Formats: sequence, C-alpha cells, structure tokens
Amino acid sequence: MGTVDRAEFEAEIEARGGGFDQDLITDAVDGVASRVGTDEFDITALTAVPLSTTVTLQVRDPRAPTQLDDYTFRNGSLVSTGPVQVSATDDLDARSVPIGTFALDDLDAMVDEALAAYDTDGGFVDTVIFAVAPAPEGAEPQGSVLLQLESPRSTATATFTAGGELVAVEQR
Amino acid sequence: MSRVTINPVARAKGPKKGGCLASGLISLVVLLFAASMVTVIVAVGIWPGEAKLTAPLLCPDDQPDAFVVADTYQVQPGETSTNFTLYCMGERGDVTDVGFAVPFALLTAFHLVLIVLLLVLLGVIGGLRRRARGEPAPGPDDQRAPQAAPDGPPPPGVPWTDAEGQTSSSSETDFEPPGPIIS
Repeated sequence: MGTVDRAEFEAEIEARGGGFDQDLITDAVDGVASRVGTDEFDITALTAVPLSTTVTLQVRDPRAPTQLDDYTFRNGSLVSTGPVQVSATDDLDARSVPIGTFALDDLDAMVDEALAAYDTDGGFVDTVIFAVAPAPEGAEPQGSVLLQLESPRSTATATFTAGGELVAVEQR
Repeated sequence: MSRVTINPVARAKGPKKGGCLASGLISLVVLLFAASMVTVIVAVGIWPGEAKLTAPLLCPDDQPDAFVVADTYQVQPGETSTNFTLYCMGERGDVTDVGFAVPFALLTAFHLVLIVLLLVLLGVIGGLRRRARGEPAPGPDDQRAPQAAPDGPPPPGVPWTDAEGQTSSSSETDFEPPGPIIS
C-alpha cells in the first residue's frame, strides 16, 4: 500500500523529461579529478544514462598520457575503474579533449532546449554523450554533446557544440 | 586514626537512585522495542507508503515528490523478497535515492513518541476516572503498606498464618467436622 513498482516509477521519470540532472556528470568529473590529482584532464568519451544514474568516462591519465582508463560512477560513487587497451597506431592527442572544453554547467539548459526542439509528446532524454571527433592531421580535435531523445513513437539525436550551442535535432 | 561516618540518609538514597536509573533504562528499551515492532508491522507489513511521511525531512527542496518503490525479487523457486526504497523526485524527473534505513529510523522515533503520548493519555484518563469515583490516587507507598489483618477467620480457600508462624489454608473440602460432645 502506498508503493509503486519499478516500471511505474521509471515511467513517471520519463514523463517528466527523463530525470537528467547535470550534477550527475559534474559529480563524476569531480570524482575523476580527485583520483587523477587534477581537474584538467582529457577525455575521449563520456556517456551518462540518467535512468540508471550511471556515468562512464574514458580518461587519459595525466601522469601517463599514453594510457587510457575507464571510470564508471553510479549515484555519484565510483563503482569500477580499469585500463583500456590502446592500439599502437592510436593517436590519443587526435581524439581527446580537455574536460574543461565542455560547458558542464549548461547541460540542464541544453536538455531543456533539445526537448523543446524535439517537441514530441512524452519525449525524454535517454542518454547524454560527450563525443570527440577525430581531428585531421595538424588540427585540434572537436568535442560535441549528443543527446539521445526518445518518445513512445520516435527517437532523435540533438547535437550541441561542446560550448552548448544547438547544432541540430535529427529525428530518426 | 580518623573515623568515617556514614550518613544514613545518603546510604538510603544510593540504591534508590540506581534503581530509578535501571528502571528508566529498562522502560526506554521496552518502549524502543515496541516502537520498532510497530514500525516493522506498519511500515513494512501493512503500509510501506508511510515512509513518504518522512519526505519533508529527507528530500531536497527541489525534489519534493516522494515515491516508495517496491522491488520484488525471486530469491529461489517459491520464495520472493521485496525491497522498499524511498526516492525524492523533482519536476524534471531527477531523483535522489534515500534508501529505507533512515526513513525506518525516523518512523521508529515517530512511533515511539506516539506510544508515549498514548500511555500518558491512558494515565490521565485513568486518573480522571478514579477522581470521578472519589477514590484516592494510588501513591508510591500504597503497595508497600501492610494490609490490615481481617477480623475473624479468612474466607475459605484463602491461606493464612497463625500465631506460631505456620501457614495454613481452609477450604470446604478439608474442613473436619467436630467430634461428638461427651458430657
């Protein structure tokens, strides 16, 4: 009596927009910063799933920049970490950007803007991705923020620059 | 040599104070146990949604909506287990997992207060009833006061002590009829 089951609870979260909170990502970034000893570290990817409150980052170790490590946080707490295999031909400089290039404090606003542009009944944010496009030789790699949007009848991807400007919302 | 004088009043007060403390602690433990059992029965067995009453104390201001989520697992064939978790939710669907241990502790404290209030209320009602009947309120010495010996023999079946200190009892079954009168 007075309870809901897990499916009803998740449906309520989705009905309210997916439950994304930028603190989910900033807490994970702070957690990595405290472990690597600096808040100026580079990442190659970041994935956040609001419903499971999970954030996964691939981080270049500032003390050994040729090494890549995987960190997984749930509810703001580190649940696992481990090394990532890197190919001898991988150029990490060409596919990593400093975490500071992403507008971490504007993520909530980006989500609101993306849902408004999606303009679909029951739309919610399923996944937030920080992606890094490999740079051509001699150019700086570019980071971008991708929001995977879903609704009962469609899915879409909203693309933002790392600084938080909406580039496009593409419905699939 | 110095003489040590023991104050008889202090000697009399010592054990009494310790006794009060012990009985107070025992009462507290009994009340806590009762409150815990009430919480288990009500907040786990009958109405798990009662944990939502603790939301104003545990939820952030921007996440005022409380949900108690029941997760039921099949531990093994024929046996299921249900976990309850209190979540606070904001208007964007953002949630905070509060768990169930802290709400359970708060509900136990709440039930403890309710039980104490109920006992006080019952005491007051009992006192008012006694006063209405014109009976004196029971004092602490009433139970220790020796009861006055009844005049005459006790009623059948009631044990009594004779002047020689032997305890006897009388009943209709062991009553021996007097023998014949020989004049």
